[in-house]
Amino acid sequence: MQLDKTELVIRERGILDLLDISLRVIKRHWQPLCVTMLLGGVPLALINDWLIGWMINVEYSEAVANGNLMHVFLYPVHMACLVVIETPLAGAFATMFLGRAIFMEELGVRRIVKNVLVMWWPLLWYHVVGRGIVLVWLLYAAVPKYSNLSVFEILAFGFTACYCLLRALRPFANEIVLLERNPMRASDSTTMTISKRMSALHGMAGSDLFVRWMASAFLAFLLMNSLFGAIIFLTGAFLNAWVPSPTMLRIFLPLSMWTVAMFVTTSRFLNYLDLRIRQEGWEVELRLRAEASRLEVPNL
Amino acid sequence: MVGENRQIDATIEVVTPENIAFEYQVAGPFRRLPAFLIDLGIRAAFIFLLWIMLAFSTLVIGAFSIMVLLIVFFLIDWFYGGLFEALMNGQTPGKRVMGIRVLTTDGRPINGLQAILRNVLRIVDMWPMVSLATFGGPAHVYLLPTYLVGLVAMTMTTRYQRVGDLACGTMVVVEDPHWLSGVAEIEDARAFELASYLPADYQVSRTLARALAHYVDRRRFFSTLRRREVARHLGDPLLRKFGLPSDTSHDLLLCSLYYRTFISERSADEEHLAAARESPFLPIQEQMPLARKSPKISPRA
Repeated sequence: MQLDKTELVIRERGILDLLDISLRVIKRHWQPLCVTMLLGGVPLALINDWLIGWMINVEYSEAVANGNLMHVFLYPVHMACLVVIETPLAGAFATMFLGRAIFMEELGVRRIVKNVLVMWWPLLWYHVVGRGIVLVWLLYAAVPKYSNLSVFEILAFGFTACYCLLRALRPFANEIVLLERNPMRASDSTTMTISKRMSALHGMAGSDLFVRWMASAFLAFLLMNSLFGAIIFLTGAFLNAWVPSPTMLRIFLPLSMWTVAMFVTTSRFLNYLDLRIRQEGWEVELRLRAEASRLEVPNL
Repeated sequence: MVGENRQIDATIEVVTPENIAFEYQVAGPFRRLPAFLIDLGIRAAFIFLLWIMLAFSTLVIGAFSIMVLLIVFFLIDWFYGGLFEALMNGQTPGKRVMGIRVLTTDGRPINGLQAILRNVLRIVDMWPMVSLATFGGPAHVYLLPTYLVGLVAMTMTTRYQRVGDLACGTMVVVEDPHWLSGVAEIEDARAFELASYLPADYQVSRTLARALAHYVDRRRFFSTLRRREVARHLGDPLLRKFGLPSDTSHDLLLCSLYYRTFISERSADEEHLAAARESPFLPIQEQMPLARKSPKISPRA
């Protein structure tokens, strides 16, 4: 691995440039990114379908005819809550891939899975327990099906809002756990643990990270609508089904959301690099380390 | 594929017909979005104001005002971008606020036809559109754009060109003046002192010179601890190479090597140049080189 030979030109960038560059990264690595997102996303998508699939109990066309659009939007909104909360966990394999691809080292799927599974305990601890994914799953599983959802909705949306705030302020858990590989606990107080590293990296850039998260969330929302709108158009044009059926909503809506999750995972990784460049001069460190390794090699 | 091995970046090099090379940062879909939203807001505000004015005038001139509103709406919707880009040298008000500009792919200003055509073709980039039938409206009235064609086109092209840009041979670039950077200043006098202890015959390679320049340019943004941490990587092998005491500050060592590479040599050149200019009989070209191709350290007198 040559530390100054990166696939991406390493320099400070704005959030909009990073989002643009994300498209380039996805274009170049679309196959491994799709595979790694499928690895993380499919199990979670199945869990989501089991948890809230029952909410599509009204024919969309009937609801449109009755003017009962609020009921129709229940499923998309709850699905969005779940996907937002689960995206970092689903993107673990993709993050591992991107972490290596940036140094022009492409890992096979097996190596990626192996590398992620080495860190399975901190990963599960920080996402499923620490950030409360398990709580959300229990909440959705506990709701009696076909019941009045008002109290449950307040809880679910409230939790999602809190989660989003936490994630906006500390977005790079995956990168710290999977790529930096700090230990969870240490007997020596000088050792950098995951929690210390989280505070050190995110602490000074809180407001900046929040603004970046807001911009990314807004654009991800637009992108998701754009993708799902295109799917509606295509089914209308080819199947003459202009009004989406429950089956279509159940399949294509999560698909659009997980596709955007892949984009969000890529842009989050690039934001992580950018934060390290701005705060720690990461690109300078890489260059000096590469130069040091050249100096260490004896002249033949 | 050669193109696939290139580093990912948003910059492109354009060589003009006069054989002058420029480097531009091209603006992608997300960089363009705020400009688009500003222009959309201006258009909406203008139409809203016009609508209010015509609503009052309807009492006087009747249905004629509706026709005027429709015509103005059509003209603004189709020609707002083209007109401004033609008159403001590739910029609309939104693009000016966001610091982006439309140029031809060979780096020249666009003409009126290109400005109009790339904006008229925006309709293609807006597809696929969602029908109103999806929301219980009349069938086959497509009003909600997804802009997916434009997004895919921009993702697939190296200059982030949408269909309108591809048809007209244009691109949108960022006007960013902070790309140029000069020689960084070193504030610590000990660096100059340490520079005199460095071996005079040590040749700094091009990559090492770049790394030093990068470090000195950025070090003022790092904390003292972080400076130590970063400088240690290169400082350790350099200390061993130069045979300097192991407790020498790595940060100071890199600064002094930077000083030797970029500043002391340059100062010597400038002194020579000043002397040459003062003497009307001294042929400058023969006495010394005015520009170095690469930074290197020469033995001191």
